[in-house]
Amino acid sequence: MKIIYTTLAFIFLSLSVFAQNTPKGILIEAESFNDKGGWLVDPQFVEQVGSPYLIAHGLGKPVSNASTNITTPQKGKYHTWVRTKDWAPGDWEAPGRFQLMVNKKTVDAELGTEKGWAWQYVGEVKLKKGKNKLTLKDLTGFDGRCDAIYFSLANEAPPSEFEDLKNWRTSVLQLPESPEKEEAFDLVITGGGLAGCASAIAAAEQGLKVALIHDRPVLGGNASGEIRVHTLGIYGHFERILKMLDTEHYPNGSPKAHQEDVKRLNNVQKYQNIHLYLNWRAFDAHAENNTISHVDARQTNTGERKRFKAPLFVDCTGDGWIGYWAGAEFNYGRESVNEYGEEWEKHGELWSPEEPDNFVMGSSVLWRSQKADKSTTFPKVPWALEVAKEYAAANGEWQWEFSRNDLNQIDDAEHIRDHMLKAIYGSFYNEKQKAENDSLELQWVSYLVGKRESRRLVGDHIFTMKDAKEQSRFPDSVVVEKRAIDVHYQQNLLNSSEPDFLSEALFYRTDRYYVPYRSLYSKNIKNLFMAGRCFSCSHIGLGGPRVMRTTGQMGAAVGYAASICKKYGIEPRDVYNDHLDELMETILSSDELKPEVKQ
Amino acid sequence: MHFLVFVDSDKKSAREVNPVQCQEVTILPSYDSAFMNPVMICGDSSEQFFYSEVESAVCQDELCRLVYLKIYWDLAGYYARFEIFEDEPLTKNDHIEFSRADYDKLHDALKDPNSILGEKTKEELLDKSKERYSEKIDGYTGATAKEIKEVVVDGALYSTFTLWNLVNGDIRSRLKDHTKAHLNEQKLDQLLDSENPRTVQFGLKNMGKEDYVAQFPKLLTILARGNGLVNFYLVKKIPAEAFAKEANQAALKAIWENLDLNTRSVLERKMQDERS
Repeated sequence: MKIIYTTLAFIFLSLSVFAQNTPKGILIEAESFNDKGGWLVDPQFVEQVGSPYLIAHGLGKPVSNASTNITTPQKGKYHTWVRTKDWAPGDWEAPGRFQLMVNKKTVDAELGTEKGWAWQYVGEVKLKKGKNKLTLKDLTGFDGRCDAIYFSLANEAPPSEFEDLKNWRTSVLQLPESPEKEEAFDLVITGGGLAGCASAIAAAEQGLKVALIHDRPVLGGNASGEIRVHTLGIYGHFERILKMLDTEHYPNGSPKAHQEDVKRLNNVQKYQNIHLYLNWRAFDAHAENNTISHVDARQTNTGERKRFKAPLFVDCTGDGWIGYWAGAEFNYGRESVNEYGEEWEKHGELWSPEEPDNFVMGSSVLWRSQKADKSTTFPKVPWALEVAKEYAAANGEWQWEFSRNDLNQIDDAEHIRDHMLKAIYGSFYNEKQKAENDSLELQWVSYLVGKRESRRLVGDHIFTMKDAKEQSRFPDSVVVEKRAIDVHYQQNLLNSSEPDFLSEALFYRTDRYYVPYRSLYSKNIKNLFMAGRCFSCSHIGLGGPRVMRTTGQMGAAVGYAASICKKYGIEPRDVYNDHLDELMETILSSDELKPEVKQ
Repeated sequence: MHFLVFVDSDKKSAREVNPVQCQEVTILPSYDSAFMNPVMICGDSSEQFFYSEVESAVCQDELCRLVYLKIYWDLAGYYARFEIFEDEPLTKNDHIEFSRADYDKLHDALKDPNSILGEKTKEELLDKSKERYSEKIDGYTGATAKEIKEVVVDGALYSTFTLWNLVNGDIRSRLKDHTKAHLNEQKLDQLLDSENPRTVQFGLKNMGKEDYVAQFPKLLTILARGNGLVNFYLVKKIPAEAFAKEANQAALKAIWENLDLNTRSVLERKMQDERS
């Protein structure tokens, strides 16, 4: 096992490319700061924001300073902009305020006070020739965010529009079109949740050289200590593999998730031919003639880029990004009840609508509080009460979930996360006002959205309610589950006085059902597998197998299928057509395998 | 005849049923199939409802007793209320008569068509296992019995269970089918005016595209009531041409601020479609 770390401390480049119409400037990406102090790198919304950013997630207590050194070619007074966002604009002080310090001087302007992502101008700042120290000083602990800092001798703000900014960034950073480094693998798996990890292990055991690319510092995705959802579902044919990766059935949000992270990482690291890329986020996949040649990824802290080449790819990103970039067919939203005959009369429109819509299951942000041994305070949060209103709570389980028909779980994910943060801080504030809660304090609030549903890539088979209800057995039944089809709706649909951030679950109970292998590879991208919530299913079909032991089963199944592809030099569909017996035999004997791994 | 009547507090009080105005529509067998209870459609041009004088045995182990109850359903087949016969009050296992609070609790239980009582068999009611996995709360709990206890009348588990299944069982779809087959303007009006969102939705589901244009003012009154699920369904069904009329657009604007964002998102798209 190999972890690739890079130590590029900061990005400093002059604008020679734009020399004609742009004077020299210095762009510093906040996520590349040397010392991040208490600030966290947030890469969840790169596709919408344009870059990872630093966030001061201090639960209402200012986090410690982040700092870095830059080298300036010439001294001078530089016009200075900070790309930031007031994430809760309104008739109150912005919640996420912070300041910039240059060397030992604090720049007056309070940042994070302008609506939407924008370059906030802070005025002219003196920089010395040579080394200068930049510091971000958080003022609130309420999720102030800094994407980048730009110094320029000319008073010309960087572009704000998404595409212009993207092009400008590429030019300023003098990025060549393709990543400078590339490496070849037998199998490239993007996404290190349960599905990705299981896929990597199964393929590695069969001797494949595997890249596992994950945009977080820990493996596990929704099960990780960063999001903390326990794993549900059964092991199917993959008990041995999934036990290396899953969690106990502790309450969602439990810090016990950290122990499971350690177990999971240790188990993955035992495999020498899994090349683990933690903190690397894929940003592109290139396909020609419907065949992916490579996935490009970027180190979330340093910005270093790398090209991952392989004959086979697995999309375990949850959001189906690899498929999306490669041009794979996908679905999003709730189908009409008539499309696949997914009616449950008892729950009617709540279950499956007559007319299709985008009202998918929502994303959760889990949280908890605890009683301290002394009196504690919590600041006023007027900006949060617009969402929380009168609601009071001391912790948040899976019901803390947000979806709306006009919000896309991918494109609007930052809005969804921020809405949940307002719901949490506001509800906690209300709870804290109760006499008995003098010592209550926030212990943990995730800053990552735990998604349930987003893009669903289309395979040769679309798994639907009918398959579960009729318990269809397939010749290629590689995944088995008995968990009820569990589909959520927002509580305020039935009662408008309920908060808009709470959900309820509907359980359609059924006996054992099966997911066929044909739901785990793309219909039109020839060398793409998918495992996890982006597998080929309908909105209702997703309800049962979306939990993590089941998605882990999918991962393991495609890991084995990939090994058969390699053995015969074939594509995923050929395994179904020509080597299904071999695939099923491999899968059915998975629990008896005693692979040799490095201990 | 004297009735103990249970109605939602904001509803008009129940009227006596004049058998002359009733017509039998179907038979409701008691839970043990020992009694065949006729169900009638009753009422006049201002209000119609389904009605049955139900006789059923309630059995626990080998012991059975009879219950008598007058049941009312609305035109969508949803339980509306019950009345008792003066000389046949409901009793508990130990023969104690139901109190007013017990009758209220029974009414609340019967009113919930998705009650947990519909998910259990009679055998499962007294599940004594201490710890059971409950998906409802995503965790382990000894709550199966507790969940049921919350909804049933104390000391009348089997009565509540039996009656719930009687009034919320197969009968609903039969009553729905009857209304569908005899749907007219008056019935539709009554469905759409109902305070039960499920009943309104049943009315909406049985309207043709042209009704959605013709009935626009009525739809606005439904929208103004603010039920998220009904409104989201309703606006998805409104054809874009309904927005061609300026008067309709103005009327919509007047209630816009009170609409939830899901509903608005669909309306915005439809109004855009109409403009383009």
